[in-house]
Formats: sequence, C-alpha cells, structure tokens
Amino acid sequence: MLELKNVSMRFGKNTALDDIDLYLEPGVYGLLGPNGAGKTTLMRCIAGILRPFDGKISGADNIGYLPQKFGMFKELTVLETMEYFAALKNIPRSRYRICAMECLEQVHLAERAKDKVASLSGGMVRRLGIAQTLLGSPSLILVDEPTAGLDPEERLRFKNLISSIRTNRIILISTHIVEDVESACDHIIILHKGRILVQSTAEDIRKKAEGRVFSVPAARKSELREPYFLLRDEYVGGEESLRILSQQEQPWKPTPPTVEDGYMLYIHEEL
Amino acid sequence: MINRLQIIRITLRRSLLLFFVPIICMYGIIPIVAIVSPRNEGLQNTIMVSRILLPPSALLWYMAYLQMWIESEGQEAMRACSKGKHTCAPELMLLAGSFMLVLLPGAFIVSTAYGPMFHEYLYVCVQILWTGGVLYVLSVLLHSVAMSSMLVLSYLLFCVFFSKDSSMQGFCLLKLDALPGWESLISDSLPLLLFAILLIAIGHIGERFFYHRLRIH
Repeated sequence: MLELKNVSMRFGKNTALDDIDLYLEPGVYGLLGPNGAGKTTLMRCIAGILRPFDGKISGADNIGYLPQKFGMFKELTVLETMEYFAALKNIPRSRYRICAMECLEQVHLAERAKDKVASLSGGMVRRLGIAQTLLGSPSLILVDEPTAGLDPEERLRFKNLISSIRTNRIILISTHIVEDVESACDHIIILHKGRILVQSTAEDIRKKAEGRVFSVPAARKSELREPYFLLRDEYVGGEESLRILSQQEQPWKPTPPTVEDGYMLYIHEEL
Repeated sequence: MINRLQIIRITLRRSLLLFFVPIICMYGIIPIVAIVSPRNEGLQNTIMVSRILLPPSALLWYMAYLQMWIESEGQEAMRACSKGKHTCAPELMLLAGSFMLVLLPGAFIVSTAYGPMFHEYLYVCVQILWTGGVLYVLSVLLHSVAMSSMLVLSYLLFCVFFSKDSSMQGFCLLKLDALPGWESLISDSLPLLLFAILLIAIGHIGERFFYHRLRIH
C-alpha cells in the first residue's frame, strides 16, 4: 500500500505538485499527464530523491525506481552493473550473483550478462533498468517514461514484462503516451499542473468523452460550434476529416471515443 | 563495510587510467626525481614534487567516485536505492584511506633514503583529505564534479606558484617547503586535519539533508 497525503513540492515560485492525495493498492497504475505536469517530480518524491515541502508519503519503503534518464556505466558488464545495484541495496554479498541473474532472467537479459553495457541497444538498457528495479523484491516499482525512444517491438515487450512482474506489487508507470498505459494498467491517474484530475479505470476515462468526440469533414470546418479542440487530422476514404473534442452539440453524430480522447477532455479545462 | 568496499572496487575498476595515475606518480615520477636530484637537494625536491603531484592525483580517485553520484545519468536510480539517504562521505573517506595506504610503501622507501619522514607523510595525507573535502562540498553545492575539480585544481596551482611569496603565503593551505620536524604536526597538520573533517561533515550534511531540495539537473 502506498499513501500520499497533502503532498506539495515547489521549486522557487513554481509549484510542481499541489496538495496531492493518493492511495494505491497492489496493481498497475499509469500516471498520465502532459510535459510539465509534475509526473517526474511526483516519482522522485515517492522514490525519496526529493523531499516534498509539505505532506507525507508512507508505504514507500522497499522500492525499485527506473528514472527517465538511465545511462548506465558503459564500461561495466551487465552482471557487474546488477552487482553494483545489489551492493547499493544492501543485499548480502553472497547473494549478489544469484539475485542479479534471477532479475536478468525475468527481463530476458541473462544471456547478455557478461556483455558490456555499451554493447546493448536502447531497449536492452531499458530492460536492464527494469532488472535493477527488481533487486531486493520491492513491493513498489516506479518507472518514469519507460518507452521513450523505443521501437514498437520493444514497447510491446515492455508491456509484456510489466504484466509478468506485477504480482503482489504496486507498479506506477509515468508517461505522456496514452496507449502505453491503456492496455497495461488497471487504473489511470491523470496529473495536470501539479494536481490530480482523476484516478479511474481506462474504460471510465474513455466513457467521459462519450458524445463529445466528432469526426468532421475538413471542408465543413466553418460549421463547427465553439469551443472545440482539434485532436487530429484523419484521412478516411481518401478524404480529410477532423477529429474534434467538444462539449457543445455539433451538427454531426458523435463517434466512439478512445481513452486518449477522455484524457484530452480532462486536460483541456476550457472545454 | 563489505558492500561499501565492493562499490569502491567497481568504481575504481571503471575509472581504469585514473586509478593508475596516482600510482605512477608515487612509484614512478617521485623516485625518479629523488634519484636524479643532487644529493643536497634530493630531500627538498622529493618533498616538493610529492606535494605538487599527490593531492591532485588523489582528486582523480575522488572524481571517479563523485562523478557517478553527482553527474551521471544513473545517479537517480542509485540514490533511490537508499531512498535518498546515501551520502558519498563514507566512501570518500575509504578512498582517502586507501590512497594513503597505497602511498605508505613509498613513504618507507623515502625514509630509508633520507631518514624518518613520517611527519611529512602525515602532512601529505592531510593535504589529500582537505582537497577531497573541498571537492566534495563544492560538488554537492554546484552539482558539478567537473567544475568543482577545476576550482580545486586552480587553487592547488595557486598554492604551488605562490606559497613562497610572503604576501600570498597566508592564503596557501598547501606549502612546498619541508617541515621543520615532528613539532609541525601540531602547528601545520592538525589544523588542516580538523579543517578536512569539518569539510567532510559539511558535505555529508549538505548531501543528506539539502541535496534533495536542490533541483536535479
């Protein structure tokens, strides 16, 4: 169980986190928000790297943390890197290698144990980062922007990896890519301007946008009623159309929303 | 303790060339200076070269360790392992102690040639300690080992050039002249030792309680 009560964090005049309350039980949670929402700051506070100005965090005693920037020591081998983290986590010396290999096997990197980190691809370095979070069998795993820069295959592999390590753990994944958390997470927490807007399931967030998403032929854009937000241009049957989000009634039938549409509705307060 | 030694061992293995530079200075350059110097200048030259080369050499070991915890991209993950409670102070002291142990055989060799020199050895050890302390404090404050090491090296160079200048002597913590004798331990080495301990304590407190409040770059 992880609990945050009235957690706030400021950097000078900038309020990065504003009175955050959160209660998490074992499961996989996606922390969604635009750039600058406070996701990384929240992760760092939970990980103990930053101490919040106000509030209390409890339940974050045995954690594994994979930060957004995870450049490991390229001269070391994969196994040496894991042994280094095992030493930092005060794992008994006699168990360094055993624990390291167990974690590497979970992320399918055991066969590369003796290779230098410099020889690994970006996706493999990320997997190594996940492996070090598993050392010491933590009950809480924090992963910050884990799929940034990864190709689709590696992203899929990451999602499968999260599913395989989720048992009896709280896993909090911070990202601004909705599809990364849509299928992998039990709950989604949307953070915006330092505040939690909602904590709910992907389905409930998607339903929030029901009746609010419209697909409009681009040529008829002038008929739209303000306010609305342009989600994206689409090409349907060779014709350009606009997918928009609006609380106003529009002269078209609504289209079925996605989780991303619901997320956008929460983020854009002016709608 | 065993885990800390493991961490230091892996750190020094990573630094490779930096690890060997101090060894080369102590057992390569300094003996050569002692051998080639005229007999009546050998002791003074050996002491002078030791004080010029050894404190900056020790900085290389400190830098290799501090760089991992202050500047590297892996430092957040490492700090999270100890929930932000880690400080570099214990490992830095272990590194300093290891460095002094490495120098000890060299000190014995010099002693056999020029007579008991243990007070000189202790003076060099204290120099190594306070330069490490300054580097640590500056690195924590500036979040930059590179910039901090340049500042410390610049000051050491300043001491090398101006320690014999009577108007600047007072600003130089590193002096190049041989110590008069054992009595210098109290007047010269002890204040510097206390200064070094104070610096390491400041660095430890700064890193433990205030580092997390500074924005991580």
